[in-house]
Amino acid sequence: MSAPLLDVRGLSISFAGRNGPIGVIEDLSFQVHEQETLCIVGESGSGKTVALLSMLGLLDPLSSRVQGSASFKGKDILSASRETLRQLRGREIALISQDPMTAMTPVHTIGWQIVEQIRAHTDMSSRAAWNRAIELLGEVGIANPRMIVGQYPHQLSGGMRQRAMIAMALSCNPSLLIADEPTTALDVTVQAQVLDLLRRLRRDFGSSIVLITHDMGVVAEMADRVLVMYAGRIVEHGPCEAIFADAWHPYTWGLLDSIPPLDGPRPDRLVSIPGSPPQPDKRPPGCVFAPRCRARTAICAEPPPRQAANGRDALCFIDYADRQARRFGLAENMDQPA
Amino acid sequence: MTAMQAPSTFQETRPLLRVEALSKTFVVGKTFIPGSGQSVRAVDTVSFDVFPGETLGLVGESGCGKSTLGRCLMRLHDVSAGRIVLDGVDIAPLSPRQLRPYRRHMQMIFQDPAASLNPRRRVGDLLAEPLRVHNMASRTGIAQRLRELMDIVSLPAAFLDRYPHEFSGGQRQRIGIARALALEPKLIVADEPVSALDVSVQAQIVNLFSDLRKRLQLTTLFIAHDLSVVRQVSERTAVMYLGSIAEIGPTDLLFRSPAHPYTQALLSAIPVPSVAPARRRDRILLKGEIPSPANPPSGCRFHPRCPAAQERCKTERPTLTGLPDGRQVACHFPFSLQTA
Repeated sequence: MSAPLLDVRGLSISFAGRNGPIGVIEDLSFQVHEQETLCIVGESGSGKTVALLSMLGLLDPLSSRVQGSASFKGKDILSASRETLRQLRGREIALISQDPMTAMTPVHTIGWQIVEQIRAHTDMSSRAAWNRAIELLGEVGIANPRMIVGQYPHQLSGGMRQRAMIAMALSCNPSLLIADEPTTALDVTVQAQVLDLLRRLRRDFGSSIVLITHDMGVVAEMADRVLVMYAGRIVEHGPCEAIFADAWHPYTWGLLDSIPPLDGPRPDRLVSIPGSPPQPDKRPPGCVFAPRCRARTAICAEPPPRQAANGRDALCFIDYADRQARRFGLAENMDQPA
Repeated sequence: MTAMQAPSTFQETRPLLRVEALSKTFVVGKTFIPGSGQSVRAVDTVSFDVFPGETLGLVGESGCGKSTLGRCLMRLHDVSAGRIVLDGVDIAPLSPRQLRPYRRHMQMIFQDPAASLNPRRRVGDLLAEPLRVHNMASRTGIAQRLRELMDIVSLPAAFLDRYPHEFSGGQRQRIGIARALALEPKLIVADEPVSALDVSVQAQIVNLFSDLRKRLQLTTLFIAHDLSVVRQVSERTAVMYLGSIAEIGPTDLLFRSPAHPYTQALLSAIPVPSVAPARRRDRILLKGEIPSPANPPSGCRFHPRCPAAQERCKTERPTLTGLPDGRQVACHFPFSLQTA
């Protein structure tokens, strides 16, 4: 395979706290390849959004510290100047955020906002850009783009706004599309439409997609590869099929098992992960997941090793021989709060 | 088998809650000009029963009126038309003062526990308030009841002295549940009680609901947009679309073989957390979005988006009719998407 589109190595991010810096992301490394969909899964506070904002240079340099390296098409983007980043953002890397209402300005029309982005990055005339905006809105499945282009964000429904956002993100044919929980605020039937759209875009435009989500169902449907994040670390990484067939990390087991099934017999109780994720300043030493882990042993007080094989890895002590027995042997349900 | 199966005995007992032709109309855009404003029918002639000890799931997309319905049942909204018979008494026409003795029999659990708990009061005070208001117990009785409540929702009694901000989202929702249980209500309306929580924590609260139903024989109307959660907690499920019930019936039946095209589409739209092709349903992609309730379509409310719509659906509105298998469906052509 050719060089990765985005190559992140040893990324650590900390924010200024009252009692010194608080580490939010620790030693994050991953690659995004051409025409690939990478899903990043994790609960709120796991650092998935912060990691991607840092890559776009959108963190406040006064209150945050970023270490490590991230290169996009071979160019380092963490140390890039504001001017370089400005050229990159919107043109090469586009962001689709969770809430399209706050991502768009309420005082301009949809068309104005798309035209602004196109004209910032290309020397298209405003008339041509306006026509391109209409074309884009049509491409993302808006039925009457000529009318919508002249409307304000508040006049559209949630699903329409998200489509308009996607149209805007696509306006410069970015090679990397970062979608931060793009369907979380949407209803399931509309979510199905938007996911369908994202799949079609990858096929037609050949963009790579980084999709941040907490919904394992969305992951199963969209991902080529999956990163599972917990408390600022990648706890498991691997191809989508492999992770669903045989997850390695107990946190991934928990994420998969805690979803109520839609078919087959209903379990008497759901398998849940006890407690809740730790605050960034109160993360335990050793394995960060240990206090909530069903399979923890005394050794988990030490930092766990990263075990890797067959293009996947997990940050855990449990090795290959033990995995099945540990996952299904410990059926004991500890869902009392820690 | 387990308590999850819908026992047929429910149908033979008297319903705890009977809702008859309930409607709620809001007026929007009203100005000082007489006759201005537009009426929006958020809930449109809805009828259903909830039997003692049962959990009825109510699902639908945003804007379908499910929360408005829940709030009408609690009389947090005034009702425009229809009857709400709780344990033999129609509470729909009662004035706030007349309603007071009945309030303790119906309690609500809200979506956002952070917003529904007063940040300036300790958990103990929050839980004790309903007991004091309704003169339910003496001072020592209250202290004992508080410990009982904390035990029911699996929180340590020591937490009674803490403030809501000291808790995580899941713990706060447990407090919200404890508060709703404080008065031993006959009916609980839970409005999206788990949707603000992370998946791993969501499973804990879903389990708590299952436990409570078994332990306290709770009668619950469980409102949610997440169908898999509703399947897990409820014996019967009602699906709402644009203010009306599209389909209502035993949960297992409804999920195994949905009759209404909307239920079918809704179920097929859920991303299944599995890569095994056998577990995937054929997706029915709906066109467009829910129309505005201010300007509902003619005939069947669902016909503009329905892949199986026929001429009759445009003109004639289907009513909720019983099928031989024990469910009710509001569709002229049920099961018409079965082979799609």
